[in-house]
Amino acid sequence: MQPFAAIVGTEYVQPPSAPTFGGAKLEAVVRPGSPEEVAACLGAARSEGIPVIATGGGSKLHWGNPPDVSALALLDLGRLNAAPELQPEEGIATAEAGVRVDALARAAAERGSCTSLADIFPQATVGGTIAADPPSPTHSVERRARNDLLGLEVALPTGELTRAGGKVVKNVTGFDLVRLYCGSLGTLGVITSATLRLRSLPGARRVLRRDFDELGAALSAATELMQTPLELAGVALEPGSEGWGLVWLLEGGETSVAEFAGRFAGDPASDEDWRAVGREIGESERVNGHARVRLGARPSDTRSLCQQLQRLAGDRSLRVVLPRAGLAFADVPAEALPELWRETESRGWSLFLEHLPVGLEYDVFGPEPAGLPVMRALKHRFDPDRVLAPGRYVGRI
Amino acid sequence: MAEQLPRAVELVRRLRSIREVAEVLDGEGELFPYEADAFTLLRGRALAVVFPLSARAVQEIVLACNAAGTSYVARGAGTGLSGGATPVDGCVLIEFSRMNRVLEIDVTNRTAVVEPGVINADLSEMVAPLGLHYAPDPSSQSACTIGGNIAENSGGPHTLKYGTTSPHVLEIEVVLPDATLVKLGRRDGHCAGYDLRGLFVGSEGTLGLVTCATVRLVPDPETVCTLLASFSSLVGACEAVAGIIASGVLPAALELLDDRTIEAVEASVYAAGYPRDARAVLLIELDGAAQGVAEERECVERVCRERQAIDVRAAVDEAERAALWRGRKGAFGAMGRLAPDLYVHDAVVPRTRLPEVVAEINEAAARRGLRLANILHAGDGNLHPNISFDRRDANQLQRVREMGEEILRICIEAGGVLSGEHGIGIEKRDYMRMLFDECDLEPMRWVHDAFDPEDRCNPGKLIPTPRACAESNPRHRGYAKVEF
Ligand SMILES: Cc1cc2nc3c(=O)[nH]c(=O)nc-3n(C[C@H](O)[C@H](O)[C@H](O)COP(=O)(O)OP(=O)(O)OC[C@H]3O[C@@H](n4cnc5c(N)ncnc54)[C@H](O)[C@@H]3O)c2cc1C
Repeated sequence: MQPFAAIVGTEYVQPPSAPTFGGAKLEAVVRPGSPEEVAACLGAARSEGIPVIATGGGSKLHWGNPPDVSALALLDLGRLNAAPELQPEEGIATAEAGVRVDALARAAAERGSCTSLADIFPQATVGGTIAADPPSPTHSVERRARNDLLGLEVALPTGELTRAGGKVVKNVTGFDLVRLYCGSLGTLGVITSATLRLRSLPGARRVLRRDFDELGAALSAATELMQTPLELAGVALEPGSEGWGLVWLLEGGETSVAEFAGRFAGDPASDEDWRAVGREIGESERVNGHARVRLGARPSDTRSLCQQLQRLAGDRSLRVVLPRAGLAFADVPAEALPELWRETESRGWSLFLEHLPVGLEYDVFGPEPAGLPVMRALKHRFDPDRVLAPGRYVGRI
Repeated sequence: MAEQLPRAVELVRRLRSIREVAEVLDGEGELFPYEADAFTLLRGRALAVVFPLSARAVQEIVLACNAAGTSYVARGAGTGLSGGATPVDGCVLIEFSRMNRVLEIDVTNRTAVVEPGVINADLSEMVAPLGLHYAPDPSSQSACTIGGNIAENSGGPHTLKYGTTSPHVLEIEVVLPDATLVKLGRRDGHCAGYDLRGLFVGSEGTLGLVTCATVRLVPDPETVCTLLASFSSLVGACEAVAGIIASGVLPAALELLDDRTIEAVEASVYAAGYPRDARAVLLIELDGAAQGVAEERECVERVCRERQAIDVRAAVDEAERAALWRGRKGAFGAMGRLAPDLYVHDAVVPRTRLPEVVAEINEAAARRGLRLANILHAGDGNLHPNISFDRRDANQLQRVREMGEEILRICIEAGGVLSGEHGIGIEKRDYMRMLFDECDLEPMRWVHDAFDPEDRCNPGKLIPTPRACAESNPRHRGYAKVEF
């Protein structure tokens, strides 16, 4: 670990809290203190042949396939947490990778603003959230955090620190590398800071709900809700102690929110009800012998997604459903996975296994996506020596 | 050279033999209209222009080009403003206008599956009876194609609220440079792995050829209110923009036209009733639920008056609203009447810097004796300084070129970028280094190399060649600097 120590100082090369990671020996946790140090660490990783996995708060570090190397180091971005730079008048915020998403949200709220980064994963950082691009309760086909990402500073295995995008709200200057890095789970480069779109906090916010005895009825109501002309910020279905709750969020100007609330009747609910949806998605306690599954399809296929999950994994397997996004989150027993995989493939759905019980050999990203050969070619160009999370991404890239 | 000739003849023959190709043009006069897109300062001459009718035909065209070692360039409607569709000398130009079918409209999921040659406005018109529209609305929407929009990640006045093309494109079917057909992204938006869809949008036809796309459709707003606010100074108008955004109202559009633009519009067939004595007008569109829009309108009117608006009025009916927009969307055409040539520029700055940036640009133009008018997507900080000129005057042409560079310098010094919606193409390729270091450009080259290792797909666009090879050869990559 000497090459890393020479860059970050010996006190910032620390012993790992666990001896192994996904079967690979964990040599150390390296904690660079600046973007330049991150870049230098990647350069050293490459020249010394020591693979690294970047981590922020660690809330989604388990996302991905096991690394296919025998030893590696963790690159902890937590020290890159200078106070974010907020410019509500420009509609932008810039934050270092290690800044916590909840801290950024608080700082933005003080300025009457918000970003669209998912704030549902305990400890999650800006860099990690962009690299993992997780869904949030407000996620839908039209509303995705990745659309609000404007610029990135990224360290590459060449040892260089590079810029993509910019600090403006509209930009087509060159290839859209920002979109490429977002969701790449640190397999092409390591994000050291990000510029995000900052929006005004909505003047009003209202959570409404309706309860149903069974999921089918709740789904029908959700369909009706989504066909009603109103601007929805989020819609979710969640199991309650006896049935299913349909919860929806309205945001916007006071008058509009009141008007929309009147169009589709629901019982008043609290912000806490909405946060509960986020917790179901974000919290990662495991159910023994079960895989945590995220199944995706078109919004109109949400009902069949749910039916399949209920059939294969039982009524209580579903944790939360986002009908506007066509997403269902569930805990599926290991023995049901082969059939779920087949269903996913034959119906053209998407499958992501957030947790996999030990000993199972699945590509956690589900059936092979179209375009995998291009993805491999990209990985080969960006990280020819495979020092960034080798083996962990789609197709074990 | 001598041995290339038969090979070219052979290639054209092979293109003609492809079943689902509607036409192949290779006559002198036939090729002339295809020498440039709407950026006319640089030109190139294609070997032939070919009109495919299907993805299969596109694959065969690419195979034929690969076998002959010939480059190819995609072209939609040719309205691009950065030379993206300008042919490389001797290339095959693939023209997509005949692949213009709307293949599917899915009302439940609000998506449309379209071929690349579908004209932007036609799609919106087609789905209008369903209460839906395609949101990205470039001013050229009645001519430009969805394929061109995807390649340029085009924007428009309503980008402020609804976003550019990228978030509206879910899945793209592409013929890659190795002639394979692949889908990037997924129509449900849940694609595993790298976001190749996001990477492809805005890649200016350099990574492959779009043969089909699934795009989002957006419900029409229930109520629309279009306001025209006039100001006695440009600074006042810019301050009103800042004030509106600070108030928390997010207009669907927030456009600024300066006095020269007003003058040009009002003297043209696009005359919209913009006050000729104003130094700037703001065209502000609010949309949403009726009561909410009424409340936002009050707020916007108050902000404008506080910033010394001379007048604020709302379009009273659809006809007046259409007229206000006709003026804005026809502004480039109106300017076209002022001189034989028009150079439409495009850059972005942090939006609070607009007043000083526009003032500096105006001064620089005045110093050079150039006629320059500004149209701004002010809410996004996106400016279009437009220079009317006559290319037959060599001295003037030189000043126009210098002015272009100066605009970019001013914008970059203000923290801006080279383009907000028109792209880099050949127009700004060599200015990329004003913004990016060599190490920032390298990852773009890796991307290009991953898709197109042989460098045949629209070569020479967007990314400057590495320093060592660029030299100062104006003809490198086949673009001649044409003397006018
Ligand atoms: C008067 C006027 C107003 C304009 N207003 C706006 C505006 O408001 N906002 C804006 O963003 N732009 C605007 N533009 C620019 C231009 O209209 C857009 O860039 C448009 O998207 C180009 O579409 P096109 O079909 O004309 O494409 P073309 O100009 O033919 O091509 C543009 C690029 O797309 C590539 N391409 C085309 N088809 C394909 C395909 N099937 N597969 C792969 N690549 C392809 C070409 O190679 C080229 O690089 C304006 C232009 C004019 C002349």
